[in-house]
Amino acid sequence: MVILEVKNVSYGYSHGTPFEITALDDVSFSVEKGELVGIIGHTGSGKSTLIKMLNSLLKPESGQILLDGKDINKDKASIKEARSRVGLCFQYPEYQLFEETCAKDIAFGPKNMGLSKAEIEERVIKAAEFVGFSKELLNKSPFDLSGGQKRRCAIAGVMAMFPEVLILDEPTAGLDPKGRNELTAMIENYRKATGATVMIVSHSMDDMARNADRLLVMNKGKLAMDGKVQDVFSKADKLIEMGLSVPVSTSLVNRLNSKLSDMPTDVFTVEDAAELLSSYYKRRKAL
Amino acid sequence: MENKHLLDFQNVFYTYDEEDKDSFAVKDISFTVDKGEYVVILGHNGSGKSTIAKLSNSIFVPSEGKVFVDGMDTADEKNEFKIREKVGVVFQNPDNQIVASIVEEDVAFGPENLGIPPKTIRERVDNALKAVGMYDYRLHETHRLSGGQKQRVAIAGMIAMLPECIVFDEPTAMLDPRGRREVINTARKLNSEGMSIVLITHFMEEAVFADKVIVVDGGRILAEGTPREIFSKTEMLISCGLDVPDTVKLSLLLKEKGVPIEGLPLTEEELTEEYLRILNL
Repeated sequence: MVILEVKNVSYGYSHGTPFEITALDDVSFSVEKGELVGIIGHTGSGKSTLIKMLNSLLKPESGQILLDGKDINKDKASIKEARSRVGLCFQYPEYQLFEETCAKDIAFGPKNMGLSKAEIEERVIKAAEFVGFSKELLNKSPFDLSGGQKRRCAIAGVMAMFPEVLILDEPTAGLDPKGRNELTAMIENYRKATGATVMIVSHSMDDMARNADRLLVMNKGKLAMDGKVQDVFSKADKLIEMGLSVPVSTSLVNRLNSKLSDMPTDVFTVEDAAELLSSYYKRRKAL
Repeated sequence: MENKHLLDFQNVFYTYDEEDKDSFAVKDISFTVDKGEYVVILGHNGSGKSTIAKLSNSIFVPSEGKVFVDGMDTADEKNEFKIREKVGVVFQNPDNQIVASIVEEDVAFGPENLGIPPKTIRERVDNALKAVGMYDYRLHETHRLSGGQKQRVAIAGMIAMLPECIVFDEPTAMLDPRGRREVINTARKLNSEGMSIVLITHFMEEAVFADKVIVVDGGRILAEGTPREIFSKTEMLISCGLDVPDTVKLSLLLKEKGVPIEGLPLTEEELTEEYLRILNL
């Protein structure tokens, strides 16, 4: 079932100046309920503009954004509805923490939704669970936390609104490998528990290869590719042309293929590459 | 007398809280960086990496122990300016390091403060911008540059001071893949021309080209060695919140599956070559 639909959306900045930029150029796609969609693209490709459209922080200059088939920019009420159903988490969200305690910070969203005190409390506890926060941490000031904890607190603040579509811009940027894995698992927790749709903007092709069902590739304001992870990464040349890269395993197998030519190219994770290279080796040696 | 060690940490402790002597961010750290050496410091968030960067050019002075820059004690105030000319630090956030609105003015900021004649400043700025591949952008406005370009301008600002060592504190954490490549290639190029480089990072693949890798955990040095020595200790790295590069992971998995890979290939090129070799191709 389609939950979110982007129809022929265009948007530009600095109209009438020499710095005029077309940030989005006739972009169309739709997202199914419960899907995990990755958005990749070089800096300046329109990714951030695109996600700001999805809960009406920016409005399309032409085209429409439909949530459950209804235009989110139709009137004030529909904008308000979109903002509570589509949760947007920006890059480095820890810079947006402001309350005295983590619990209060996480409660800010649900409070603005006009929920009852009991409901707010319940949601704070639930959101804290998603990101692995103990009761003790909830009563601390967010400014006394480590960088990784701050990040999780900020993301919990978005999760507490129980958005049906959760959009995160580079959620793992600046984290160490362990922090990256933990955060990825927390987002997956949220998706499994709520059945929500998740969209993640990322520069890490390897993370995308492991986690996403489907990839949207933005290039110069246009949606350049939209397909399953395998289909997108099999077009390595095209991605590199756009200033992107492919997962290490894909690139390695492509490199071998220029010598061996009979290797399958649909390899995206280290585990798959190990399987392929070991069975290929054994087959060649058996000849 | 010429000091062989450009940077010399001797049993350094540092605490942000003078009241609580037990809360050391850096505990008993000793290591050296020689002239022309490329050293990578790996550690997870909060391991004490950035504190080490700030100790290296007397932004911080040790609570205990000593740091010497080319034989000069960083705790001695009269050395401060000489030390900052020798060792420059490039930080994580490019936006916090740009001070002027035009690229070449930004790069000139450091040398101007040294009181150097304008003609020399012009030469130094031009050379520095050429070294990082930003000469064509010298008249551009800094706020319109990409993150990778801003970082390269920050590096040029450092180079214009003619330092002998640049310490990079997670310079690529906020950049996209292209920006990361630009910055890392710039560091490698400077090193090949004789500059000492200390690169602090938690991107494992950036450590592959180092002469020496130092792993920091909980404010202490956990291991020190060549990239090959360090990355063969997968378990140790994972236990302290780090990882190995994907190429190494793949090499290790292949060995596990009985493919007779010799040594430990670190890069795609090395692994491709080794795989073709064992296929007798």
